[in-house]
Amino acid sequence: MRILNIEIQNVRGIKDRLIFSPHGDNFLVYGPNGTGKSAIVDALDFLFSGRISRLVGKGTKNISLKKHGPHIDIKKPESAAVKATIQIPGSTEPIEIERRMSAPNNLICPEDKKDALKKVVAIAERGHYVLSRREILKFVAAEPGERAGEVQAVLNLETVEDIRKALVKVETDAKRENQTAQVQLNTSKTVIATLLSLDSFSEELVLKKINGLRSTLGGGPLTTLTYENLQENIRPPSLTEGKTIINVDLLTKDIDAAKKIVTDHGESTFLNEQKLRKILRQLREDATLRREVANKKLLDLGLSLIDASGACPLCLTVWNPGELKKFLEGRLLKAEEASKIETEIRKFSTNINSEISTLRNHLEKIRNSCLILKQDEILNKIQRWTDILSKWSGDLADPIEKYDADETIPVDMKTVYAYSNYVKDFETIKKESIAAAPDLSPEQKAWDTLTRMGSELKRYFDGKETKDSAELFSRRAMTALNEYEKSKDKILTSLYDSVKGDFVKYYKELHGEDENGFDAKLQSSGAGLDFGVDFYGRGYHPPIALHSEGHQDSMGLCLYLALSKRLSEGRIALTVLDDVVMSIDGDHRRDLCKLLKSHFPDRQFFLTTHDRTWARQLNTDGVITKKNMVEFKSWSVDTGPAYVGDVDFWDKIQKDVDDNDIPSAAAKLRRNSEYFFERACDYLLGKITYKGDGRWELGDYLPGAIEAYKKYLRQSKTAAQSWGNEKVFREIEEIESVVNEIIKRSQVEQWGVNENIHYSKWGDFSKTDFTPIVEAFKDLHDLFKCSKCQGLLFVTLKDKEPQDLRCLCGQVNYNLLRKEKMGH
Amino acid sequence: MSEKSLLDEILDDFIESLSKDNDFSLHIARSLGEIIKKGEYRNKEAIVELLKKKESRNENPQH
Repeated sequence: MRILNIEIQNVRGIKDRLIFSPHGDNFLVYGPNGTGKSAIVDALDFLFSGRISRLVGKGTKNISLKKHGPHIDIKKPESAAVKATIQIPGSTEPIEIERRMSAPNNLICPEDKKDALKKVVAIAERGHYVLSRREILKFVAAEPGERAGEVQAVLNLETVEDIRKALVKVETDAKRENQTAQVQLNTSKTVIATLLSLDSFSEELVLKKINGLRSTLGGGPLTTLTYENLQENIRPPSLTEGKTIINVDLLTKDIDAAKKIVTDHGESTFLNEQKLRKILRQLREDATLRREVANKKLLDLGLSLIDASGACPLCLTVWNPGELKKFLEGRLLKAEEASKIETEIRKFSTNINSEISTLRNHLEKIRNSCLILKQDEILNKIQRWTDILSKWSGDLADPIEKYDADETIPVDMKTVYAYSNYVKDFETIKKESIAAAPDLSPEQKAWDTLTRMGSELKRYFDGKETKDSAELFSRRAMTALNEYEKSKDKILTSLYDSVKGDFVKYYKELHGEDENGFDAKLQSSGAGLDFGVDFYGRGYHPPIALHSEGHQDSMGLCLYLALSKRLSEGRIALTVLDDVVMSIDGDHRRDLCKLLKSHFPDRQFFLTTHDRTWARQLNTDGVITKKNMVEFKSWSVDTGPAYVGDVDFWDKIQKDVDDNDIPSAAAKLRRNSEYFFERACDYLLGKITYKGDGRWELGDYLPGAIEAYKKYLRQSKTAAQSWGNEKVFREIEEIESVVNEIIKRSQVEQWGVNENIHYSKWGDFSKTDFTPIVEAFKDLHDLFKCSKCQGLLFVTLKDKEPQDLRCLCGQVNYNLLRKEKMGH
Repeated sequence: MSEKSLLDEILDDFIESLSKDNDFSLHIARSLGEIIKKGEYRNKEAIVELLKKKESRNENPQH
């Protein structure tokens, strides 16, 4: 998508109507701070996304689009709007779009264009085509997790992370479910063993005991253990029929078992609980620990795949010997530490939960006896106890998420939350039961035990099945998460590797002169993204650790440009750079112009800057044409920005000449030529005489620029001859003759003898005298520019030796090296 | 590289790995991929239900 025309009406600092026509080309708004430049960026933001980013997020409480989006004096939001004519890929016809503050969610566009616009708008709505210095800092200075968020947002990878989060949730649930199933199964086993007076549970021992009970009742042995046929082919003792009685034997077993858990195991359970709390606090305080657990398997695999070359087995990046191994081992150590802590937590919580679930089971049976005996007071106390245990058990099932490590234990329930006089109550129940129940025959006791076993074994077999399913679910969930992480890391590593490649390439184009060996690391790390940059061959460090602010700005910009190549899916060829070169110095800005032109020839840049020199440089270096530059001079709340569109200075000079105002025309020609040839000297390494006061003038720059240019023409001609390239040789000969003719016409050389006098005398010329000078100078300027891209010609260097004379688009590209010099 | 193809690339690799795992039938691996591709991954229950299916590795429930 490109902007052909934009109309802003009463938005933010813009009063009434402001219309610009970039015609799909790069566009620049420049001017001092406070002149309304940001309002243009806000208007674009609003048009494409329906929001204004700077009005949302941190520190924007009490700020709203409705109230602060329209110009402050506008009372009706319908008169605040942004309109644009755009062009989208696959359509040659321009499309008009509009968004009004009165209905920010509605992008107005022709009905028949809606489908074509849908995908473009979906990408534009994300708003990541705008880069301001605030965003630069997010890329460079952010924590790994935050940076990953920013980068993933630019790449529209939030979905990738959302899927991971969803799988993490499923895996956590599965683990919890498996743990709960294990606790329930353990409880069943313990209860069955207690009721059958077994030291430990095994199905064989249980079957043996059951067959013993059946034998007491005259029944034959069972061959397999099930819960359905325990009383098959045996008759119940006479007392059982139609009566609700308490089996004191079983009740005694329940009471003894409950007491044993509280008295014998209570203290150890209490101590385990204290340890669990301590570990939970430790884990919660170190957020990265938990994140590393998920990466453990991948790290193990990665370590096993490193070969002698030391290269990364996934992305093939070559590391310094031993460094990758050391790096992975460091992370593995952290992951193992986290994994150990998690295992400890699960071990403690499962142990405690098994104890309290078993206790709960016995308490429920005691509670049932209370019901039969109508012991309401004790019933209520036991009920409260089981309720507390139930909640405790629930929290222990998901300790990492749910367990409150700081919760205070009720004062009256210090030991396994048992209340202080529970033993007395148990004795009361036991006594009352004995009084209420007759002495039971061995047959009756056996029958009652088999009855109870029926339900306990059913619970055991159900629990076993649940445990098997939960185990399979847990294994699958863990595999799904691990495999997804692996696939994600594999694909993203390759993506980040390619982004890193572009980032390093761009950064070196800006700072290669002093950081020729620069490299970087951009690595996915769990949910985070580690970003390290080389510091003069002295290892990798965070970007903000050692580099200057200017270098950091360059890094942020280069990383954004590298990412943005993948941002738009080829649908949005628009990038807004909002005052992003603040800390980048002049020399590097020139390289930035080259970067924008050479690597993003099809991108429409919408730039703002408060820096006039940078604005001029963007023009001189061919990034922005004069007609696409707008200077904001001042701003007032009543009128909005006062601005002037820049017209070509040759047109301004011509106007002065037409008006017979030769002094003004001469002044303009001299001032603009001074600036132009200063840059030409810079780009062509033209020599100028040193002046202590630093006040070089046109007469200083011109000879240096012309001499350098002529020298390169001579060199390239000689080089072409040495390579036998007759065509280029003739081409340069022709250029040389044109150059000589223009130089002669401009009288530069004769005036150059005493430039200060002669250039000052331009003002005394008549219209007839001055017109040919203007024409000659115009041609002279053109000699130093490419006719296609309008950028200044420059020389490329290798080890400070000029290699080629060229322009940014490559139309001008002359080799300066002779064949023999290149070692042939 | 477009966002869609990147996500698809991840998911295709993911499904391929899952379908080689002994606990997953081809059907479960593919269905999980489908759920995620359709954007239904936020519906945790759908994933849970699928992962709990008692389906052995060589079983094909459609036949």
